[in-house]
Amino acid sequence: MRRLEADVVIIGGGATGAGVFRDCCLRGMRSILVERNDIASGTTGRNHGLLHSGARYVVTDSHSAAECIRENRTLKHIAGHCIEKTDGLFISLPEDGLSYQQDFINGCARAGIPTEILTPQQALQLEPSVNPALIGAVRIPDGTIDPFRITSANILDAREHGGTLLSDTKAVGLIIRMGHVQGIQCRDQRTGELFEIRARQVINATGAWCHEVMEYADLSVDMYHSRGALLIMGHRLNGMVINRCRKPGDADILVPGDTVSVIGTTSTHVGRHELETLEVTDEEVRVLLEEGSKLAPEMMNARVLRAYCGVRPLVSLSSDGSDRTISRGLVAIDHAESDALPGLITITGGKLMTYRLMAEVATDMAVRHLGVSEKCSTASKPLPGALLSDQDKSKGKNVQVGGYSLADSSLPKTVAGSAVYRHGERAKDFVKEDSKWCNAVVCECEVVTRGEILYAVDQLNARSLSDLRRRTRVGMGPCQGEMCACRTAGLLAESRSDQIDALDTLQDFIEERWKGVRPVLWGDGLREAEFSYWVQEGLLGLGSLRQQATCAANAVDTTADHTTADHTAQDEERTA
Amino acid sequence: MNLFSLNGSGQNHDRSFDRCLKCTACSSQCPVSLVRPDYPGPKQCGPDGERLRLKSPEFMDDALKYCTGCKRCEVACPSNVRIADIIATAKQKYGDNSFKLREFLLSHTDLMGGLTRGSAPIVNKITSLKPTKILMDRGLGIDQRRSFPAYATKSFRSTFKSVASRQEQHARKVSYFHGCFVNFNDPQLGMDLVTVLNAMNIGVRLLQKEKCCGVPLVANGFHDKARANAEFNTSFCEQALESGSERIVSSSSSCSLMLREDYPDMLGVKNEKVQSRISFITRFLAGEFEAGNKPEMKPVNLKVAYHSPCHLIKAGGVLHTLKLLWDIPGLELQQLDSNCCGIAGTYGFKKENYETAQGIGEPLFQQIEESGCDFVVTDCETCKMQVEMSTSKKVLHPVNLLARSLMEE
Amino acid sequence: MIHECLIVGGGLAGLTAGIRCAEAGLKVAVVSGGESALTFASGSIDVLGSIPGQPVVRRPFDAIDCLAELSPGHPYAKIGREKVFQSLGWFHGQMAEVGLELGLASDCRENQWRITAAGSLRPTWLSQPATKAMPWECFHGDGACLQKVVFVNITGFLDFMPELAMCGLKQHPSFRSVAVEHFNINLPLEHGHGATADTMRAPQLASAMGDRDMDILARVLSERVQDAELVVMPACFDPDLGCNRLQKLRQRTGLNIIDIATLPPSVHGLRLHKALRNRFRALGGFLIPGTEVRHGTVDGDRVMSVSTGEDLLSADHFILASGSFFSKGLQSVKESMSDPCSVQEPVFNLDLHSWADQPKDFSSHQFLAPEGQNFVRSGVALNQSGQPMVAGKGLHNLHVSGAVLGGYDPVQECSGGGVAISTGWQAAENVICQVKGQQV
Repeated sequence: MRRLEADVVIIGGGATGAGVFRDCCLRGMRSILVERNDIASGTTGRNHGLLHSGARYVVTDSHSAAECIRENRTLKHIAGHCIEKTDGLFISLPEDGLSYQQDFINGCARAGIPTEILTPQQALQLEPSVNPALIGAVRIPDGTIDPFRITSANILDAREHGGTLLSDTKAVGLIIRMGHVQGIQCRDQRTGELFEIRARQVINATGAWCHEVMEYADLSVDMYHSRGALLIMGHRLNGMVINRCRKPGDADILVPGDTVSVIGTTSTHVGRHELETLEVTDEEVRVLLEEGSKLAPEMMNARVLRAYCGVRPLVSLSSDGSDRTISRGLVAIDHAESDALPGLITITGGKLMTYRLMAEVATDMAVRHLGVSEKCSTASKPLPGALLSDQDKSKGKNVQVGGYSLADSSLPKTVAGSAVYRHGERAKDFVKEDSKWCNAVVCECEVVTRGEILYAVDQLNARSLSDLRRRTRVGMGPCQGEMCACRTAGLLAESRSDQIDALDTLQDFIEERWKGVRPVLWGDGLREAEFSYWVQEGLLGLGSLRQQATCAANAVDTTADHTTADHTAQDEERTA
Repeated sequence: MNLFSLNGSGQNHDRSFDRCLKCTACSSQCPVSLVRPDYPGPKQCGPDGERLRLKSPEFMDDALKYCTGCKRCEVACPSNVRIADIIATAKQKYGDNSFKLREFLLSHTDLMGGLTRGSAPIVNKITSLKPTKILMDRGLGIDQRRSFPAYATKSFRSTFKSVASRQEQHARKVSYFHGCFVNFNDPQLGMDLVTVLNAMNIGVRLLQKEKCCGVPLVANGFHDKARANAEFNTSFCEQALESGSERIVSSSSSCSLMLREDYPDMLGVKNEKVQSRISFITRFLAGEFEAGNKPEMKPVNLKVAYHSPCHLIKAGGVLHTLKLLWDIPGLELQQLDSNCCGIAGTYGFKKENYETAQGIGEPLFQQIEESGCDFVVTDCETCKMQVEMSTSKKVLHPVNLLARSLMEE
Repeated sequence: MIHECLIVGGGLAGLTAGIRCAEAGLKVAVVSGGESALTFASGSIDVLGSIPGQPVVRRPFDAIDCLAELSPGHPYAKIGREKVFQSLGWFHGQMAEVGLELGLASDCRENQWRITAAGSLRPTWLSQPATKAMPWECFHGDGACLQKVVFVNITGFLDFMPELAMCGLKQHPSFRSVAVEHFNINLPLEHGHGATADTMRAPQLASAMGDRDMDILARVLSERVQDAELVVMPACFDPDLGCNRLQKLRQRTGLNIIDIATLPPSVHGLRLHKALRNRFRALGGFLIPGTEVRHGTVDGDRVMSVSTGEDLLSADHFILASGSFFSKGLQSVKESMSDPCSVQEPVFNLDLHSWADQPKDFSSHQFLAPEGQNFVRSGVALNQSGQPMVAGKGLHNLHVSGAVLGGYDPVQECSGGGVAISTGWQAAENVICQVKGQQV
């Protein structure tokens, strides 16, 4: 069995895992991160993308609120290209009254969150999409954060500091010798290969799935899995985050994010066995639209692109019914202390906002055991891509990418601007004026270029169309990848990476998109789906290809030797 | 509550881009992007670009300037996305709006026409002289290969005075928005319109005052001036309707689309008091014909080829013109395959657009030459200029033909 | 209104009906709002390629009987095998009249194969002119008739994905022993104003190419392709009906070059649309674009007029060819969030195929599901006499054709083109019969 060695192995490639990975690498530890699927493919990629000011929690959980506002400021500094400083409003509607607003403002003051009380007119002027029936509003420093981008940036930095990322790799067991956790057993999800990673510390950062890893050591934790459903609207309805100024409830936050707006969430308890089969229900869609349109009435007229849900990894500290009373605070367990099982640390609970803090706490635990003296620097050192100053970003004209300024660039502003928006100064790695084929727009909704796709494959470890979507937004626009998925698959096929089967990944991508579209299949969404169906199945025959393949696979059984020989011959041809 | 009829929060910005299915029908029908592949086309500049511009105005792409505003993309769109309006609005909101002399001269058609009053023969002579053309080409960027429309010696408004008094004897009256072209270049069309309506026992009035409808102003970035004109014209339309005219008619497909639809939609000028009573002339006439008010007509033994102007298609007006033409006895009518003529108002006059304009129109010119027709018929004055310059055929307005069918031999 | 027949919808079904009416000497106009699905059509005419639970259909017309038994509500079932054949043969002739020579298999009742840009093989009946028929035997079972296929793309062009197509083709059993290769040709694009192929869609590429580009293509193809029986290229050559450029390229290189539909917009589809328009106008029909019909007025068993919201259009007979959801011939509406979505025919509120007898979901769990998507089966139902109905009552002078009809799955069955043409033709025949009947 193959064996790898490291100081630290981190299980889980969500924001927290990626944060731990970066922290460990920056402190000079040899680190490996294993992720069973792709980075940010679990809870991290299934939330609002809200850069909380903490205001949401001031009344119910002041500790979390204080954590939030601290991290809010830190992230604005270290992850500028993942963040938009939109600010947010907490609006009171006639049915809410203004009584909550006072508690809210007091709470904000306690937590150190700056507030500004606005008249309804002022609020409408700042944010024209807000419900004009509002009776009051408070402005707070909410923002938006792109969870994929920030996870990717952490991974990128970790890898540039010597870390190794193993995606599509599932931890299937812990190696426990003499009462010490000494590493993990893994399976490569693509090849099925089993192998070991020996490490002095294992950090379990699997969030909502952390109980699974703990069970490998016969440990248990009382997880409260709370599922939240969200809807993505077809375009950016609002410029500022809009919250409802009342006790946290369903569909009370509308977050603008990149080219879209996201409304959420609901909150339902789910059993641990339902984690892999979550589907948004009609009832959730109804609640989200009805309640959401009270924040911004325009939502009723806008197209819903897709529905999705995520699972909050809450750790149950009491057995009270509703999850909204459970702390959103982080939970860090050093099993050496709590279970006399040295070598294993579990970090869970918390939220996207506090991923960096969680990573710091977990890494601090690890360095104590490993005798590393290096201090945490993740709160001050900007992530790759975040080196551009705010001023540079807001005045796209002055942005220097790879030695030339965007103002002088002959590239369309949509192309150069989108690249910088998503990748900050790292855009220089693929926006090249002289290389004409690289600037071809592959995804027209989100302006993703051929160069960006190839960059994500080469530098950001994208191995499938869905991986590419998370790193570049390809296929995230209103058509949900109707054409760009095929174009991108064509590019992947061209790149001839042995690890990617372009047709498989195209079909998977199409099915993954469909999952989100199906719960909102009416009106223009249905028209879009019909159009995609005509193109992808009618014009291209992608589905019948699968059936052809099945036929072929059946035929292979009888002529297996022959086929293999052929395949090799073909490969040689290709190399030649 | 109907989900899809509920109004938004009262903002007047256009959200029709949200309906775009990314089907590319608009791009496949865009006359510009076929001839100039460096124009990314209506889908990317319109609905795709709008989503980005909502994120930040920095995503404004310079390529929007290539759009001619022909609106064929809107006709092509199966989702009623107002693509051309989105592009025009974005140009205004985010584009380079510095003053340019050429754009000023080309777009201020009423001003230019007014200046030539009394000196038309001289002006015509001068603008057709080679040195002038070279000067305009080099100095202003107005292409020297382009022929300028000839100015009439007497404006339509002056000519009309001779028939004005007898209009009041008709019980029914309409007001005629003649526009710059009829006033300064083609008064005969205006007079033909009077003849036709009089034959149907309808009197014609002019608006007390009118200014350029604003189409060339919008196309050249003078939105504020266009808005001022819109308010001016709308108030005189209101006045005309209040003083007994039953309709405002226009013989220009572009003017009428502007007066009716683009004033509120693109310029934000409210015209709901008059909107439903502004008609392109063929629509009004076809309605009258259908209601039985059809003048007696003599056979017009001509073979004509009908070219439908882009803005008339957009306004859904082709039907009415066809109805009229079908009603003219003896007329052999052939419908040309729909194709933009390329001139797009003032667009084709600019030096950098000349090749594009002629390239766009080429398939149409070919069809016309092959058709073997005696005349081309179309509803739009700039289409007329372009076709007459680019083919061997003369161009008539449907109203010209109707008048011929009424006139004594 | 002087029209005997007014057709709502300018896609394949509407224009086919228009051509048939005009040919019979009727005064006919087609009104349309928005481009039709022809914009992204393959340009081939599929008649019938698949029946649930049966092997791929080789003889589509013969299979109609079997299909009619399985689904009596299918539009083909109402028309019948021989008339479907007759109408499609007629259509083939009409297109030839304007110079679009669509290709038939050597046995004209047989399907041929269409290679897709993803390397899938779809059964089809008529192929685009330059696409020489790929006979059935060629790719059926293991007996491939080819040794070598070469895919050739224009460097940078994104809407044709040769490497993906190669992967796809290799999955097909009959291609297992076929060598499949690929290369790109870099073109200067004479009329491209400096723009490169990677920024262009197929129609733009077609108009950017000049004689110099064709010379380069001919030279490089002759040099690099020696022993391939088939050269597959993106359809980006000829907007014109004669496909002259590709024909010439074949002559110059002596190669068997076919061009296949790219991602939308499709040059093949646009060409078919142009041929339809030309034929319709040549026969004296009138096309009225920019005119979206929104409502219809019904009195008893007759349609009196249709309206655009501003204009009333009256005629003796109406043909509804308004397409499916995409073209808004059908609408899926949610009256309020708590209501399930319902399907309507918005112009006349015609009765639709009932779901009661097939308790299936509106959509399948899988997108590219082997069983197809049920939403595409939605649409107008016809009574025993082939009439559309409002609240169960048949309409005498309204005839329905094309994708607005329900009861069939154009995509899964590979029947979209055939249904549009045969139902368009049948609708026109009904009108002609009624008009002529009145005259007698």
